[in-house]
Amino acid sequence: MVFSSIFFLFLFLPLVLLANFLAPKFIRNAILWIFSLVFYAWGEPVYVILMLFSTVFNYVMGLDIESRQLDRKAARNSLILAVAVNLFILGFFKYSGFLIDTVNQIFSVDIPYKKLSLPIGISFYTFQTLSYILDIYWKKIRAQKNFINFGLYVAMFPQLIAGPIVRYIDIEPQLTERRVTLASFGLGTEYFIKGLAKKVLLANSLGMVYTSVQEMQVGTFSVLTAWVGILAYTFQIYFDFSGYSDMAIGLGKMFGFQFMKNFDYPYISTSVTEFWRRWHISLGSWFREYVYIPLGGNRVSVPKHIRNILIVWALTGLWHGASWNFVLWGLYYGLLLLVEKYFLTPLLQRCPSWVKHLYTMLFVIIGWVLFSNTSITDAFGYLGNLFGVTNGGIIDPTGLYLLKTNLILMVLAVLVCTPWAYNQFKRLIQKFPAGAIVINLILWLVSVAYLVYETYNPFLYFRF
Amino acid sequence: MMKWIPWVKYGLLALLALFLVALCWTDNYPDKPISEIEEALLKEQSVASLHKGNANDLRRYYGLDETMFDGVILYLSEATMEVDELLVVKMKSTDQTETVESAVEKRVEQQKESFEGYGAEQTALLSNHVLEIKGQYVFFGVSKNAQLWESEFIQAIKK
Repeated sequence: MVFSSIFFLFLFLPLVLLANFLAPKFIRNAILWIFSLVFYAWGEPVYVILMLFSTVFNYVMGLDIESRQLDRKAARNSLILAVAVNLFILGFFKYSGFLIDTVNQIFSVDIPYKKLSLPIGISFYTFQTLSYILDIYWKKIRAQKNFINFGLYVAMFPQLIAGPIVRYIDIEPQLTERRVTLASFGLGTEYFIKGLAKKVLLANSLGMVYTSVQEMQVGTFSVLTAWVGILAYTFQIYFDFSGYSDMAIGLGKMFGFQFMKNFDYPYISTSVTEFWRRWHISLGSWFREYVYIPLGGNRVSVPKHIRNILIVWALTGLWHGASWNFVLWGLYYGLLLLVEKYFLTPLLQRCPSWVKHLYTMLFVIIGWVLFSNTSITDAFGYLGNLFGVTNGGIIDPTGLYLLKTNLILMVLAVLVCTPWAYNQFKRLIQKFPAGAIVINLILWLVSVAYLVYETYNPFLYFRF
Repeated sequence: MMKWIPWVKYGLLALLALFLVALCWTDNYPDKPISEIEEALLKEQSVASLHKGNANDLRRYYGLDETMFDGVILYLSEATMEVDELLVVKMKSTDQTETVESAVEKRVEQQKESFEGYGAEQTALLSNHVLEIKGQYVFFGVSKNAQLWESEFIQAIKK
């Protein structure tokens, strides 16, 4: 089930809200957990068993590790088992086909395998359970004794399928005590509507532009068409994912949970390092806490620091999908961050702001070319097309048509991906408080109308 | 240490192994290239006589993006008063089922609205459409031969 669907908006959400607020406090977690399982099972009737397994297994392993804390060796053995099983499940469903394909290609063999579908949200909930297990081992938290509370942490529907990745340490107090006021519920609703509008009105419309460019043969369209296409994708992926995160954060607030911010206007960054402080913040924090710092972070020799960065970024790339283009995309960012850290930062600091923005966006856009083309040949072909290696010339009628018909959409996208638009909204509602209701109502109605009449509603981050 | 934990732990691992074996045994049909399925379906004259749709048609009529899937077969009738249509989608993962299903349902509703009131035969064909989900494949057919297409499709993915 996706948030941006009529079924969710008009049946599931009202039902779960009603059930949650009518029920006495002591059974609210159980109600939310059951609804979360229904939400998951709606699209994954078989894999809900896998998620239940993961819940029971990690619950038991949490208790096991905690009970062995006096014997560090025994605790470490339990930790290794828990981490290995979690990674095995993730690897089995997400990476086994990719691994066998790679072996088949390298050694020219034909190892057969059964292609299994990827359980939705597996990367997100596996990372959550891993953080729980590791934090218990490091004695940062106590194991959760109440199975329902733990089940809710793993399966909580607002962030189950597309994040943000919520660490147990951040949400533990809210599992037992949380408050929803009229103001916090209202704020949650506003977040949700904002996210829905970003996803439905902007991301979906921009997605159609990029899809129409992708359908053409690389090398046959103009430089202009290639730039319009990739710019549309650049905005689409931001509005798609940040819109979904806003919806998740908003839903969390409606039920009394405070999830961390996942995006902070990444396209206003003045360096690639800053971009990654603002993009998918929960994933970046996870890798920093559970991979980068345990490897030694930057408090090691330069060669080891370079190794650490490259490991973290290769894994970040791989997390996004079982394909070499994602690994390349991750390593590309690893190298850019290293270049910035060791060479470029002093130079960048002397540049005017617009140069820094331009530099950052250029490399981010190149990154999206690698990200959006699962075939590396296509990715490099598209890059060539962007910089003039094409038979389509600099400008062609298709490019001009795409630009003219989507110019307003693009300008709107630029405005909304900076804080300017939201600041204007805040200024307006300070003067006219009723304006917030009117604007949100309009956004809601237009988004719903779009959902009713348009069927094009893809969601990019689902496959991760 | 809680004495029951090791038993539960290893019991759970055994259950996981069973689940994975069962999944590999039962889940999914073989990973067939979409071109093989198309070839099998085209042996039916009633399919071969239709017009082959492209990515634009898929977006226009179903609102679906071809690049989101492993493969798509789309055949449509060229005559404005005919509703014969065949769609097979090979999904990247089963979580796309809901998206494809709702796109098909919307298409059926739109077509029914178009023929409502004057196209009794077309409306009947649309009402008797075949929508089948088999593992990673979605089959949708509108035709008096839709059942036949469906059985051809099932044979093709089983082989």
